[in-house]
Amino acid sequence: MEQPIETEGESPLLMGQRVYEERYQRLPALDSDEYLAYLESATTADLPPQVLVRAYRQLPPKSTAAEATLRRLFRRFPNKRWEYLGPMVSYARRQSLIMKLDHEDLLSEGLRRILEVLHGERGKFAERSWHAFCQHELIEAWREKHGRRGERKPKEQQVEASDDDSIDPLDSCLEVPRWHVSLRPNDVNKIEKVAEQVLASIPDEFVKQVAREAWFMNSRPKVSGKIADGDRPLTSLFPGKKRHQIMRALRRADAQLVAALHADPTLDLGRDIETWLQQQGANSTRPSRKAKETRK
Amino acid sequence: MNENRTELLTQLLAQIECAWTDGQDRTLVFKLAQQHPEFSEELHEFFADLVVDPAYPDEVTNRFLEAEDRVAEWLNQSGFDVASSVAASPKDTSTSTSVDAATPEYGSNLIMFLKRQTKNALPNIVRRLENMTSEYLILVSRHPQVVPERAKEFIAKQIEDVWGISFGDSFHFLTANPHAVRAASRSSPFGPEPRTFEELLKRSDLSKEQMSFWLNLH
Repeated sequence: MEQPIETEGESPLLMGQRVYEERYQRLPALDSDEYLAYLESATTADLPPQVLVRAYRQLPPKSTAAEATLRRLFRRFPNKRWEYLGPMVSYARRQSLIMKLDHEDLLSEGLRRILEVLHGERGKFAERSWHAFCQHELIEAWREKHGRRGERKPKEQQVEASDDDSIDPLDSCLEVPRWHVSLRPNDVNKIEKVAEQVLASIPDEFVKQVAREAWFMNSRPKVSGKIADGDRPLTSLFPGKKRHQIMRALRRADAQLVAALHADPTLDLGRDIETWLQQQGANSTRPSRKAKETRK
Repeated sequence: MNENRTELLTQLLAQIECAWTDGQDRTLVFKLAQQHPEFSEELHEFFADLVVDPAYPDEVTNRFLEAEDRVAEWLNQSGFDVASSVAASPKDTSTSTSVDAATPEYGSNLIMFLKRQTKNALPNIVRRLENMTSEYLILVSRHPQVVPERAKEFIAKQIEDVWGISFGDSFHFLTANPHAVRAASRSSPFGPEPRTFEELLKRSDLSKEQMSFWLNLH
């Protein structure tokens, strides 16, 4: 059985480095069958992308173990969630909408470039910051293919400049995430307390106000459009703001709340909320609750 | 955004990522956004991407998922070969920890030959050839038996024109069948191998124009 990693008394960043180091040292010998089996069986929390990248860069590129490591790093679950590529895929989705690009083209170019550079000098960066690395390489891949300002894009794909900067291509595409879970009365109190703390930490007054309106209603309010009597959409509460500005503010605030709920080691949330948190997104980047418990 | 700005942004993103994944710090993004207001939007979006998925209407999500299905299929079919072809230069393998450095096919296919002869990485080789993608060159190199003679001749001729490598030398690598060696060296099953030239073209990430160019040589 796996022993918890002892981390008491260290700064979080040093602790993070040491956790990766220990996870790496725990890997079976990279040329062994045990390593291949471990790649199949280890959980996401036990096998962070940084550790996989480091292992891959130590392996001869054409070896079976190297390919198996890459396959794990680029794994997509049957539910179509990418194990380690969630943030990059979210970024590619958003960019494909904003810049009217083909999502498949953008994503495959980014992945191709990652595959090209990961074993080289540039790949070293991914041993520490996998998600920042992925986003950077996606941007570089797109530039390499289409030019810095997209001047090499085929004409039919070029974004026509809009006279109205206030129109956001995401406007009609983004939705307010579903926000309904069954809560025990005790959960409500805990979450409200965390939400209040998060609100207090948000420096942007507009984001704070949007969050307050969205989080403390009986039901999650709509951003715009017709709604039932007595309720008001968020656009009516913030008349000077466009729909997409409210959406972005809400997403920013929601990310802070989800992060706070995940990071609080004192919270013992029910399974329903855990499931809901899992559904909110790229859980592979989150500290695992099991790991947090070892730090309590 | 110029290169310096991109590099700076990437460093800031890396700080946010490390703060979150290592120390569960969700507030560094506020501090960095204040210090670098020109990147405020990017920094907040990146942090949100780390933590939550944006929600889209079902039809948009389905469109994304279909595109990602095709990307996943490409990865399984030939994508991972991009990595091994790019990285497996003699220099790279000599600096790696030795596990099984000498695979049976090392140096025995067209791509390895070209990399040695031109001292270039695969992307740079591909860039200089007409109607070419990395996937196409990899697949041609792996499955020359399904590639029409005229297409192979065109490739060998181009290589001669660009780098002065004799037609016969590169054409030699397109007459062998490296498939059996490759399959034998692999411990896990690979995706289904292309049985026809059309199948190979479909997996090659070629544009419509490029594809019809090669089909015309069929």
